[in-house]
Amino acid sequence: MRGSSFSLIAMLALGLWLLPTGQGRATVSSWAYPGLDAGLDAGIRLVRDHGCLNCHRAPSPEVAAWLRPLEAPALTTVGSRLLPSFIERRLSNPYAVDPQSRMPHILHGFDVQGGRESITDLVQFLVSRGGPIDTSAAALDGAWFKEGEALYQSIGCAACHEPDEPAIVDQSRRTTLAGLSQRLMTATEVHRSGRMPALGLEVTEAKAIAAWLLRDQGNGADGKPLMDVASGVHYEAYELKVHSVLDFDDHTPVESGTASKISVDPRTRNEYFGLRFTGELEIPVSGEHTFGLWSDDGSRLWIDGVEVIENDGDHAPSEKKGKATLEAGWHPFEVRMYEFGGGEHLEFRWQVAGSGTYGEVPPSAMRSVTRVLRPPEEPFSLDPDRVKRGKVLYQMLNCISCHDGPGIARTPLAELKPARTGCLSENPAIVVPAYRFNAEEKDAIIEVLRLASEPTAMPTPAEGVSLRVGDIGCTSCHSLDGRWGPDAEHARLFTGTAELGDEGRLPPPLTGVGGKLKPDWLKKVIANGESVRPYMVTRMPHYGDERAEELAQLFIAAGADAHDNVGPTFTIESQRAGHQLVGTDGFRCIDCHNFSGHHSLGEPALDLADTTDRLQPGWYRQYMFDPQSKRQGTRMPAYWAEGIELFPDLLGGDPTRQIDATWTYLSGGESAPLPKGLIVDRGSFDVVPSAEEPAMTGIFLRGHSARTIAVGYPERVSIAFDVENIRMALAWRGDFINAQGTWQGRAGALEVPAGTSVISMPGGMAVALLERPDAIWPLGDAREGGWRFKGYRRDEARRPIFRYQKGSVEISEVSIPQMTAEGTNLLRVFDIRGNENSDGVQLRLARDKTIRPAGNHRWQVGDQLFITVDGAPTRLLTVDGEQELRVTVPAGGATIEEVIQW
Amino acid sequence: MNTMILTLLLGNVVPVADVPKESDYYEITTVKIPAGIVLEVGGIAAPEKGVIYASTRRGDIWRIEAAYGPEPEFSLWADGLQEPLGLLWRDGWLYTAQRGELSRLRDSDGDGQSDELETICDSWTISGNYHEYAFGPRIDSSGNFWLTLNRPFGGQPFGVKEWRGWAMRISPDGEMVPYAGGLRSPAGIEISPWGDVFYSDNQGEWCGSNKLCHIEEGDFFGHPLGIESAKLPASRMKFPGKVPDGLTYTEARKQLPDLKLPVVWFPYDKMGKSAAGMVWDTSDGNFGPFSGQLLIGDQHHSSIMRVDMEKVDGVWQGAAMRFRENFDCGVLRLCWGDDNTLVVGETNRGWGSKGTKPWGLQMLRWTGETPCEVLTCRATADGYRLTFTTDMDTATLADPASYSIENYTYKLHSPYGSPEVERAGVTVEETTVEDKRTVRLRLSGPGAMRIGYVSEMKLKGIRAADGRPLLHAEVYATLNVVPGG
Repeated sequence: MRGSSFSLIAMLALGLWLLPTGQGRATVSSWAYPGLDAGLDAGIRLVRDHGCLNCHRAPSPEVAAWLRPLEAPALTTVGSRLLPSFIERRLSNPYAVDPQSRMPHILHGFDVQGGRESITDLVQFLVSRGGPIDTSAAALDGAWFKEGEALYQSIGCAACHEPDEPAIVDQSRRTTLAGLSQRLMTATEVHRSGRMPALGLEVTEAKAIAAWLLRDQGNGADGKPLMDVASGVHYEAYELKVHSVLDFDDHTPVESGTASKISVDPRTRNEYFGLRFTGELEIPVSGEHTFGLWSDDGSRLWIDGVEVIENDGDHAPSEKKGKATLEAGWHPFEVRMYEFGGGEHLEFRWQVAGSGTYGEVPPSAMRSVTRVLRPPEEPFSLDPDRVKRGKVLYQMLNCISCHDGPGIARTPLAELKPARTGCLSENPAIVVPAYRFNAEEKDAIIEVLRLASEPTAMPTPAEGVSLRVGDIGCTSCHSLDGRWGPDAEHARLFTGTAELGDEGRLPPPLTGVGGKLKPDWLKKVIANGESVRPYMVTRMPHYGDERAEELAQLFIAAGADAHDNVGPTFTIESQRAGHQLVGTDGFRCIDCHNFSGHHSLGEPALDLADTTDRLQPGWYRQYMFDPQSKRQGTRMPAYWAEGIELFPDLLGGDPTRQIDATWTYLSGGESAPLPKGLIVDRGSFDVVPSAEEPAMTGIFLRGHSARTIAVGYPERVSIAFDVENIRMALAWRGDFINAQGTWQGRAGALEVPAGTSVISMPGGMAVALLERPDAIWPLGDAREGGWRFKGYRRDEARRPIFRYQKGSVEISEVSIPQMTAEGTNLLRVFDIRGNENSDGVQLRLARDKTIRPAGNHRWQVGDQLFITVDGAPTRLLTVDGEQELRVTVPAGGATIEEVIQW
Repeated sequence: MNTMILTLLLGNVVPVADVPKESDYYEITTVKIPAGIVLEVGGIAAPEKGVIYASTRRGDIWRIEAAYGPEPEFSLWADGLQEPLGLLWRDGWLYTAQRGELSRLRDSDGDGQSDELETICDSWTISGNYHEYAFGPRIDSSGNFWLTLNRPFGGQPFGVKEWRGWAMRISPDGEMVPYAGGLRSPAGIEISPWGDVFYSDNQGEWCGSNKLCHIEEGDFFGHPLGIESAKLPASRMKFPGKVPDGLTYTEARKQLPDLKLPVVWFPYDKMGKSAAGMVWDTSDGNFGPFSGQLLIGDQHHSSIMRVDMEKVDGVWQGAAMRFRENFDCGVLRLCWGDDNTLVVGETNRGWGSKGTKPWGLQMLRWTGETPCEVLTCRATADGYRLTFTTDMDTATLADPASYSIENYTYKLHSPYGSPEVERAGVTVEETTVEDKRTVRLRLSGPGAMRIGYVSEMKLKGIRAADGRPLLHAEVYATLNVVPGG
């Protein structure tokens, strides 16, 4: 060891930093803390936060409880999570790294030759604990950063840090991607105070958040991003059942990698999958370019973050095109597609501005780009001698007092002089910790010191809750006693299910939580983030068993007075009554509450099967009577108003017994018989036409507009008429339709025909006004084409005759089942009326690869379908390689009859 | 015994038996619905003696004969509609708003079933989001139809459509005029007897609490979701610009001159949780003492609320009070039936309600007894003038301690609903008993007479001349204009 270190150790041995104290005035029990009403909260917070009692023993257990030090981070593996250069800068002057540092500047005065050597020794020792950290660079594609930012904003990080720019100074010079990921995963063990808890992250989630926090490491010295460019595009393969590519966001890819072109090749199975491609596209010349996605089922294209093609939803192979005006050069793009069932296909095509050819985008025009995160330093080597010296210094400097447990005791607290001396002096002696307290803060601490020798009581349970809640920061997310909780700016960050309003996104209040939750459940929540609100995006942190035990005891002590927590006695009568009351013959709890993993009939409020594991029976009784008394603004209804009696046949109509009955029933948990009405019998939504007349149902039908009417005929043939697009869309045999998607709960789920042999009519309307008989059939929006839906009449058999119109041309259309020996056919009658000049009216009745004449006005369409047309001559046309069956309607109008056999 | 237990639990001090009950004055009866009929009522019309038509959320219209008797007869009059959430009878046609169109139906051959549907207007489009409800129609004296179009809710996987969150005026020949925007979930629309148009809205994002609003051309009601449509040529509302997030409505209006303040706020849970259909009491006293006032349903509370309104300097404002609770299911629609019977249509599908039945059709009749209630609550230059339905104990009217008043308002912001903010106390400085049924309150204090704020008045100390307490002792008065101020 060098001479200078010896002299430092000699100074450490002096140990007298503050002189004994004088007399105080008030008792400590009047002290307060954030959450308590008034007094010395600022001083107490400073003393707790800075761990004064780690060196200065408290005169009594009571004072020790009031001034309990917040644990400093564990340094046992510090070398594995921080860069040596950062450790060095932090030791050299913590305030230079972070003006808000809670660690004081210990090594001031070390900026001399020997001192700097000592700092190096200390750095060597700390790095040796788990390190040195691997400083090699990491490469990630842009999705990681996006994902990391989204997680940071939504799961709770931003509730304590800042939403936009995390208040972690100089993050990218502190650690590496792996180091920070590891720390996020193990935060509870490192940050023993609980102020920075773990959030139950998956490894990939921790990596994503770390990547976003360290994104500045991705910039070179010139400030430009460090990019790693490769040929091919990045893909992610999903396994999911969706009907839109926008529904990927809730899913995690099962595989990812690089693909040479945009196709379905990277899929992991043939049904129910999704693919997402990201990369950059090279635009050869500036101008307006045409892009196309040919897909089965849906797909979308974004370039520069702007949607260019929407070819989404279930459909057979079909192409949609879009145009974008782009400068020459590389542009970020994304393609997504999904496959529900059946065949699958994906092609990405373009026509560059000025070019005459339209074709597949070549692999050479696509590349993938990853960002490189490079920690700002070179590899570090350990010197065993220095490590040894550093270890001695670590002990001599009393680092262990805060970081490892009992160290060298200094002047007891009660003997400290309440003055700006020692740690509080303007220029502390060498190795006396220097704090950056301002004058106000110093006065607040001195006031606390002055009072510390006075007799005092232990904090009350409520005060105890306030102190610990204040230490840890629970009120960043939870309100307490109608106050605290996230402020308006932070409250915005909490997301969840919109259908439950704030209850679906804001964590529940802490008020009375010790009287609300059973101790074991409360501990599970605090220790492991146990949650019954899966719809809430913000996560309850994991504080670990030790802290959970302590906090739970505090909450229980503070909330224990509240209720008589003797549960009801189990009787069969009560259990049965409870079963009825929870179901649809009772209070209908399941209208809103999930149960045993089954979705409720409406809103997705929390699952009731955990109720008796979670809640105290006394709290439950009061909540059932008056929910607002326990949770202001809740949507939970109060069932009993003054003087009213519900379900008089059950338990004499006695509300207390009825509530206890629901408790008794719910105590069966997941093994309780399910409440009546929860498992919805899909069959109860079957729509069945009577034997006499058709049934009509307005329904959300997959693949067709939201304004579609299904008609089921007594002859067991059905059709779907898409009103928005003014076209008969489908016909089928057998069962008509099940309307669960439209009739259950809030509805909005899409249905398909219940029967078999479903045939689709050719795309677009059946009728068009064409200038030339062989013109391309218009497939655009019916309204934009000038057509109007006019309603319907019902004929003598109550079959709907749909009516639509364009200018002077009026059309009625009815479908009539015809029973024959070969089976039931559909006669479709078009009644077309117009003035003398209304020529050019055409019908298109079929389109297929092959349409063959079958004699006597009869045509065979493909393999299975026959069409017979009466009332006007029929023509066969070849358009775009397919055949079309068209009818030219005579000027002035006609009645055309089409018989469909299939 | 039950009520005793309840009384103990709720800490009530008045013996329950002596407390006047709503059912003493307004009696609820239930229309017997045959098994197998799912009558989730979306609209009601009562065009003929003894007959009621009810449209359902499943898309049917039921014709109910002998509807007021013990054995009503149901027959299916129409099917195949898309969530028809309103019915209106006019000249032999039943008009209804489906999700995607305004239609009218009739039974042209008199066989008891509709056989004709005409599409009057489908100039708005829907994406398939479940929350794209259309409410109405109501008809004004010029024959125009009025609809409100709900905003979509949750994800919009099927795309974004125009005109969501708008109030529409549709001419008799089907021309649609987008008249006002920024509505959220406008479940009730009604034309007043004097021809003004009002709608009710439901608490949520950009809607601080449930409210009743007066619609005038170009009004903006605060929800930004559909305001891009204001840039389309048909819009009668000017594009309001960016809606500030987090100001009180009165502050926000300084930036958004077209932002319309409600006629009344219905404080969340104190009055209800989801305001719905409404009617004016046009019974001329045959439905009790509230002739000329507005009765408005609440879906969640399964209740009917009452509003006393006044127009000051061309601006409507009013006071909301509870009226009748304990319906079987969520109250969505109200309609006058035979002999001053109020027909109540009910559903709670997808949303909970206090009433525990899944659907219902009920009737409310006045028993002929007059409840002791606040009749009107009108602003004066320095306070409020309250009238009562019965002769009162004037000593209790004169005692300032009979009243406790608080004043607050709401924020226009993106989170779901608003807390009651800027709460401030109000002192009853002086009481003037004008007669046995009228008292004038002069108010002072930081919360007195603030424009755009709600005065929550609790009249616990007031008694009728015969000693009865008020049936409902709370009044929630919204102030938009101080008379003579």
